[in-house]
Amino acid sequence: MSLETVDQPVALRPVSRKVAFVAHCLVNQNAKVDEFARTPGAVPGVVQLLHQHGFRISQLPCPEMAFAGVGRWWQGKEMYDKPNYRRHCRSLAERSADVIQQYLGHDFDIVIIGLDGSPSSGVRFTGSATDWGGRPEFHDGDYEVVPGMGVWMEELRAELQRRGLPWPRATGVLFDSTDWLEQRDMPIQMAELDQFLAEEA
Amino acid sequence: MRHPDVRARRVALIADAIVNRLIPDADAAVAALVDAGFGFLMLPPHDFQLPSTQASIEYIIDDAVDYRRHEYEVIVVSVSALPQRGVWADTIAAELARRGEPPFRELDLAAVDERSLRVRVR
Repeated sequence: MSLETVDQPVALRPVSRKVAFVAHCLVNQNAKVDEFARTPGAVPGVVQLLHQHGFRISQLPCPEMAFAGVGRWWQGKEMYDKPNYRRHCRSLAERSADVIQQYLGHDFDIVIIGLDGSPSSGVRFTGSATDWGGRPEFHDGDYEVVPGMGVWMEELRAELQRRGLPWPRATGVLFDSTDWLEQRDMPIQMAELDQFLAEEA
Repeated sequence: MRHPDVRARRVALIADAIVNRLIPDADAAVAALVDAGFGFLMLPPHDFQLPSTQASIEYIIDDAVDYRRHEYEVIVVSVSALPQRGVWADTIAAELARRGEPPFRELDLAAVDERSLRVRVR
């Protein structure tokens, strides 16, 4: 098999014409804030599941890692929902939109898989912590999963809109619940992702 | 109460061609790395350069350096049969040099079969 470019980038060759833009931490749980990594590294089965449904994988950046690093404090959406963090997300969104635009220009089916419950990467659900601020002090129940998008996904959607591009079919995998039980929740989340990927564009 | 956090603190800067099965035995390599607890920092596809690609790689290296400073293990998983070893190798080297950072340990999948890969990432 030749690995050299023939006439266009390998990534754009019409093998399946399906690309999944996935939340960074679905293939790298090290990016999670402390105490929220659900698996050792890449979430087992996610790469295979996307391939089974014919999707190539493009990993989105983690705006929280780039902004505050792996040692960052927990934050709810309210603490990230600030102009400078949104500017940071817009900067990342411009680069991600460049790639999405290329694939759309070649008639690829695009999906976005976020990380539900995240203050940044949630698609269907984000995380709210209205009482947090000042000296870090966290209590169980402070952080609530609520309907809505995280800041990063809002900015990515806005950047696509600015370019006149559609917001792709999108969902989130709900890993950022505060009552996570792997044996109960992992199969549910993987089954929901499987069902989403099986749906036609 | 602390919640359990099961991260292995192992990160692989990895060629897109491996994750997206453009090389032989890619699935086995990905499985070996996942089994060993590695999370992935995917580099842009090796032959898909946009004006913003350089900036995207800079952010990836920022993350990788931050991991190393927090004592995470960081490796590069490359394919020497590909241009730039599939990982934009010159860009990675330049970004590390610019920061005064030493190189990361690199595994070349073109020179490693699945069994030896599993041994080397164990």
